[in-house]
Amino acid sequence: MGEMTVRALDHVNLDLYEAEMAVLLGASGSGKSTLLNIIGGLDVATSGTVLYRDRDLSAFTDHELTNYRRHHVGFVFQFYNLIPSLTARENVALVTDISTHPMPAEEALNMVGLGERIDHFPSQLSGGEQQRVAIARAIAKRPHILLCDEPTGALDAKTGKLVLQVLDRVNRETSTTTAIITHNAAIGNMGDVVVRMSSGKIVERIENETRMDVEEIEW
Amino acid sequence: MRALDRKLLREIWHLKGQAISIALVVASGIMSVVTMRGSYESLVNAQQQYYSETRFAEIWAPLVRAPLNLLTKIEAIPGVDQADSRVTFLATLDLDDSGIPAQGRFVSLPEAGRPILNDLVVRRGRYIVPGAPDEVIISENFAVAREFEPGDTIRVIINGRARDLDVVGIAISAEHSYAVPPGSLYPEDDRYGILWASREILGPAFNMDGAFNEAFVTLTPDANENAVIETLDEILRPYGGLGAYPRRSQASHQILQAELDSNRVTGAVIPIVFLGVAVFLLYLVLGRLISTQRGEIAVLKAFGYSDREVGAHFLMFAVVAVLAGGAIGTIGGVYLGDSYIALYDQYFDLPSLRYQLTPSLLVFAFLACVIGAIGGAMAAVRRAILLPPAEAMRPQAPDRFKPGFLERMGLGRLLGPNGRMILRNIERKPVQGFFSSLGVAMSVAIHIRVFHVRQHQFHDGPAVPLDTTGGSDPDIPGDHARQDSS
Repeated sequence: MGEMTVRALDHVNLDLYEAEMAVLLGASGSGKSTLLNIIGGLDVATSGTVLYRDRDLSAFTDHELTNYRRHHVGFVFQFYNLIPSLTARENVALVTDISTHPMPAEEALNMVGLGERIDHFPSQLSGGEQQRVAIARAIAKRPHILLCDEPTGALDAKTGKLVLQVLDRVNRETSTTTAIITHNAAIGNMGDVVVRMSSGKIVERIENETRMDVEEIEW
Repeated sequence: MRALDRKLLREIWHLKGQAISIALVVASGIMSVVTMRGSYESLVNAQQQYYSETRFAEIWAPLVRAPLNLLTKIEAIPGVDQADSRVTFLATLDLDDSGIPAQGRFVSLPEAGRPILNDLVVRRGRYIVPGAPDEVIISENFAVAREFEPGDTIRVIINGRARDLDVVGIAISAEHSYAVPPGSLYPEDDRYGILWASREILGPAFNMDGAFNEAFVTLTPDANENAVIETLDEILRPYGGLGAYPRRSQASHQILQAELDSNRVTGAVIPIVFLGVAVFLLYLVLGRLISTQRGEIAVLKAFGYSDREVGAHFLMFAVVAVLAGGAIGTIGGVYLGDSYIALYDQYFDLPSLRYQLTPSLLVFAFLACVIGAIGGAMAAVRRAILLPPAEAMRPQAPDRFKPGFLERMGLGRLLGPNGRMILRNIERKPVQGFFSSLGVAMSVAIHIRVFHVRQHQFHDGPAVPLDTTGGSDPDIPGDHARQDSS
């Protein structure tokens, strides 16, 4: 079996605005994670341009991309990706240690409602709590962009809502541009804008007139 | 403390079994360098100091009989620094008690002062007094074997006449540390000894008044050894010259040198074996750690940790293990070096022999282990550094397998699923398979080496290199190096 080229994204044109909550919808393999990776500086597009505040990310060196991730981007992953050997506080500190103007780890954990669980290890936390630690870790550096890859993908509906509420609150309180990737169409209602992707292309862009309260979302 | 450092410490604690294994292997490497290389350097230093202090000759020239004034001619040979002569003869010792005939090699000492070359070191008692007619100094090994002490009397048969000599001192000398009686291959200390006596006694007794039957010289730095030997042979031919020979053919020197050479080789090989194992072990452990922490590497990179910081984090695992191993190895090495040298001290007469650890050796041992171990770690850490963050984010793609060589040969049917898995894994990673086998081979080699040393070097009596009977110099007439035959 030989190697074959997969066109993960094709003619994608997308604008994300300051303080905006964008929800990227699509089935598995639609290219949404690749798009998120490119926006977050984890991957580089083979062609095209990615502008962040008028600077072209696609022309960044590895060092510049590292700095971009360090100072501007916060990530939340589907499977939390906490460091199991570090407590909640230390997981957050992992990010604040290398940030220029971070918020204290305790403050970040209080924002996600985990002030009481600060010294617990991931193995002592539920899935929802772990994801909230991951959110605290992502926002503690005060990023300009918060990228969330299927943040509720590994959670039940009740816990998922709790996590989405936290993301909604963080977006409103910190004005961080937030992009949530999900295959769950219902989550699109909480965003300012919904981008639907299929086979590496943006097939629809919807601007919601109002953001639905997370409590009202049903899936 | 940074969160990343806490992660390191907790993971080292979590993997303490593997970390301790690496530390112990590194410790063994450093310990073997510190012990063996340190012992070698200590032995060489002691040998050089001994030779220098006793003015050990560089060429020996036995002959039948030559007048003393011939020494002036020998001194004038181009390349000769210092020359000396003496009278030396074999005599029977009348020891009464054993029934085994004992022999002594008489070696003359100058009538006044110490020998110019080939001096001796008096261990107990004193040096002979000029003019005292019956004083003798005997070799230490012989004295120990026969329980002679200064103040005892020894009866010798010189030219058919019994004569009682007073033992005034017990001494060692570089040229007689391995004293082999005529017709034998090994020292027999209870029936063969060296007896140093004044030329005033030996000259008349052996009809050597105003004459000598052995000359020896040291050389200037730019001397041509072969040319000096040829000239010496030429000068001594009319006087029954038996063929001059260099230091490297002198029996005692040869034995000591062979042991030093063997020590040097062992001191180089053993640490390499341990280092090889440490490097391989680090590569395996860190490789596995990095595979299992693929997601964590991705997260660190996603949060803005640079490749260098991520690499350094994993490398620190190796550094901590190596530093711990280094500390254990150094302390253990000094202790073992002391014991090792104490063992040598029983078999070699080197007066200033003691274990010395030089700072340069310590730095060398440490650097060799650290560089080696870090080298092994780097090969694994490189994978973490090169892993693109987006790729690290995804689960690892299944490893590529294909039917192995034996299966392509149609022999796959003979193997069950387990056998096929093993075979395919080995074929997929032949280098790892090779080094695993090499690791086992080296472990076996170390054990064999240890048992060999224990059985042959120290349990079977004095250290006797295996080439003792086959290393004679064919250029030396009568093979003076091997045994006394005069």
